[in-house]
Amino acid sequence: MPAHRPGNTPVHVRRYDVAGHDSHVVPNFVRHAALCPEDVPVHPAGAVLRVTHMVPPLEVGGDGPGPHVLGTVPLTEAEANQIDTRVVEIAAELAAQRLRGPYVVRPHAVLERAGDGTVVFQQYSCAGFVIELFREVEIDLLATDEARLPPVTLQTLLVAYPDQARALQLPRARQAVGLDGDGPWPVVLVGYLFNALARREDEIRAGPYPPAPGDECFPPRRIDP
Amino acid sequence: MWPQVSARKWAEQAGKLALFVPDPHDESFRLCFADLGSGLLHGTKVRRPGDPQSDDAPPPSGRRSIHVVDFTTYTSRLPDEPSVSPATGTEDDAPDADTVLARLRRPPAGDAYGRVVIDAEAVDFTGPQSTELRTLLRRFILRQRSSSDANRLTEVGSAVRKYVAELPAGELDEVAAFLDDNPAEEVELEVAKMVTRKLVAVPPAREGMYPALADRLVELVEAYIPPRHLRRPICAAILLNSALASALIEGPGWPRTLEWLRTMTVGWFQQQLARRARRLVADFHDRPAGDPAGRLTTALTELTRLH
Repeated sequence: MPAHRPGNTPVHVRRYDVAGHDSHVVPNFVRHAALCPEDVPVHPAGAVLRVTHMVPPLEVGGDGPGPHVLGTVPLTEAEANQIDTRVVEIAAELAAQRLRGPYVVRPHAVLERAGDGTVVFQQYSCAGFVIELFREVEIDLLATDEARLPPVTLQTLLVAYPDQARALQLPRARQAVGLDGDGPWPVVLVGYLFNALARREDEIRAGPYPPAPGDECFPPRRIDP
Repeated sequence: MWPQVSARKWAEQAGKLALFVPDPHDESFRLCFADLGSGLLHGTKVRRPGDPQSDDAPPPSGRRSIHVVDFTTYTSRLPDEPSVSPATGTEDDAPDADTVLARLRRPPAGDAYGRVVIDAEAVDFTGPQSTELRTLLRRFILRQRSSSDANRLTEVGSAVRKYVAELPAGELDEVAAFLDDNPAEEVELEVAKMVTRKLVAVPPAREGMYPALADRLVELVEAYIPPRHLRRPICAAILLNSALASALIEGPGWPRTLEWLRTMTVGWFQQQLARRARRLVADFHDRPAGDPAGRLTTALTELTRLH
């Protein structure tokens, strides 16, 4: 089933469905994404749901609130097992990153390299974590090259990252999470994911979704003037 | 200076992001924990600088909310100082290489030492600093690699990543000792993964260059290849990386390893291994120097045929 808002209806949550949580400030603005690591044939509306997500830190199989939005890529058993493997493979470096900070906003995924080019550790935004896990199994949900991303203002980022609002108001702290200057910036917002997942399975598997202004909400609606 | 030690300790124990927020009603600060679910902050007043109890103040207990504010409204009233780290909320206090080394020279004991190890991973070290860092990290890894404590293993993983990343080309065989004497699975994974990353960045100059490491990797492959192990993702991740690293080293045990991988009966794993191998082959071919003799990619190409 394409991405949808379950409302008060019980839903079938499939392994590695993507759960979205809305902003409390802007209606239908999706500000957090998590993966559901297990199949739940009947998930009652609002009930706690096991999720794996970048809070940060990476939390594997913890309890999360019931999703406001749910997106599905019907994965094969093989693909789900491969995502399991990838999650464990990077879990320790993301756990260490949590203690060290900072979080990353732009780009959605960062490879920290040593002088000789060796990858030391990786960082992800919550949406980046989902995107890169699906790329592990060759499902490219979203076009993330910056030339194709809509510009995002600081005002929108404050809605997307309320937990970091204080830091985002400080130029030096913004720079630490990849946001140079005063913006706008090409940032991967969580809502883009759910608009990507609102397509048919064959479309999802055929290629990435190019996000457009307004896709920060699901269904799409522009919040920037 | 604000009580950074206690702030960090609280944040880590609570497993939350934390921010120092000045209280508009008096001159104190509140240590506020961001609740991502509610969009609100849960905060508690922290002691003033210089208070002798600052570093010993108890952490917030459980999820008890002492002070709740609407974040958007609250932050609009904040001054532009002090600068804060986005993740910890403490003043921006990223340590430099000399500071990290000074802390690591102390006897390795307690949680504070492990925290310095984790900090070290994100710090740049040069020349002699790097040499000393490796000595100190190696001591820590060898002492702690069999720990059963999850936090300690996170620290050891950080140490392994930094150690391997800092290791000069040609000295990778030193890592083999980390795999002796039954280390924790988490350590086996970090070693296998980092060896793969190192070999991708700095390919071996000749076949069979790292004999001790090649032997340990073959042992890992042999240990984790039975299908019943692959039901556990960490075993699959260890096997995946050990197989790739073995292919890149191409030691004397490689033909045997390849045969095991060919004849295993876990299709999803073979598919993932073949896909990773294809990506590495493409990566080598995309490099300016390429792989003219095909030496680097011969064994990887065998893996691409698994699925």
